Amino acid sequence: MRLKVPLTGTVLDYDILGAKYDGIGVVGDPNDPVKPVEINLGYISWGLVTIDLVNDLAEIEVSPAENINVLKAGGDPLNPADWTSRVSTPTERQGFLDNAKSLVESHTVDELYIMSKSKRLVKSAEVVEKYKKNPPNVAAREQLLAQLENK
Amino acid sequence: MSVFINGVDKQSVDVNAVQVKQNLSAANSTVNKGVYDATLLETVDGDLAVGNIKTGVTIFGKAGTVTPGTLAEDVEGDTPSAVVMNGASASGKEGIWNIGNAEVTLVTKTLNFNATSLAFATAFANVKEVAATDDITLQLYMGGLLMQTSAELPSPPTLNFVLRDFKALAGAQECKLTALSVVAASKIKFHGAEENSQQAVAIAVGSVKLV
Repeated sequence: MRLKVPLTGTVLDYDILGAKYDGIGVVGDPNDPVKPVEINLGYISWGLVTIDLVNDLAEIEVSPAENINVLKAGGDPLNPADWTSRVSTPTERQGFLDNAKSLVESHTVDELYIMSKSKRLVKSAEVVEKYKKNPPNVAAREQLLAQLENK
Repeated sequence: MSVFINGVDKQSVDVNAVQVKQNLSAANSTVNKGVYDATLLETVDGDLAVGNIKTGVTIFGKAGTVTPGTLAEDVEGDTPSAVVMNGASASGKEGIWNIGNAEVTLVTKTLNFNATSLAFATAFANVKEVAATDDITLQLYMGGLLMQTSAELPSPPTLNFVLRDFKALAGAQECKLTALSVVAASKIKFHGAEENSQQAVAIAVGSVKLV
């Protein structure tokens, strides 16, 4: 499942040639890395698909957690020993995705920045122009990601 | 096809002979002596197109527009990075990394990439123990960009937790694995080398350069 989440951090450059191969092109500042705002999307993992430097959005591929932590019957939620893990069910996994989708799409971009206490993405007009004139080849990234998943 | 005039085969003879009509074929490059109807070569073979010819090459007036991609080995960074635990550690058996309410770098690798390279990073964590209440996730960064975030680590943990991705990188760039938690006093206990033969946490990076 794909979601679009606001970005924070600092963009240093846009690699035109790199964007043809990695589908992203953005070069971030290692001291202030480019990343989606930190909001708890629940029991999911995600991988970056591409970045929209005009609207400051990250498109991420979200996957439900395969294993989840559950509280033992009668257990104390504050006691780690009263927790165990198990494989999540298909119904639960769909619920995780629905929850993440709802969390993102039921809030405006401004609200997500406030909720996560994140600053807006820092970028230069020059970098944005490079991006607009040379959009990333997302298809190339999707193809290579699919090949990595099959290994 | 033969053409006989007064009993003599006159096919394709220049003087006082009959020129036989010929046809070009896309199946081969043969051009028989003869006469041809006016045509365009690209109608004979549709593959004669600028989109099938590389840039800088012109074939029968068709200037190519294709920029070929070439890959060559760039850097090879297959040596796992060393990890020093920051918490109490029983020598060789296990190591503890205190996370706390923070994001901490577990392992990092900085390499000097050709401009431009396609780098591939694989990070793994040999987690022995993590508390369900610590809500710890792992993150993979490449070149100042967050590429992957794991789900909350399960307790008991999955052995050899792996994150991998690829990114175009140029010059000196860092790839790293971090752990994030919003729970004070959160920590991860890793397997030590004496318990199994693997590194507790490692990141391996390699790349090919785009020529």
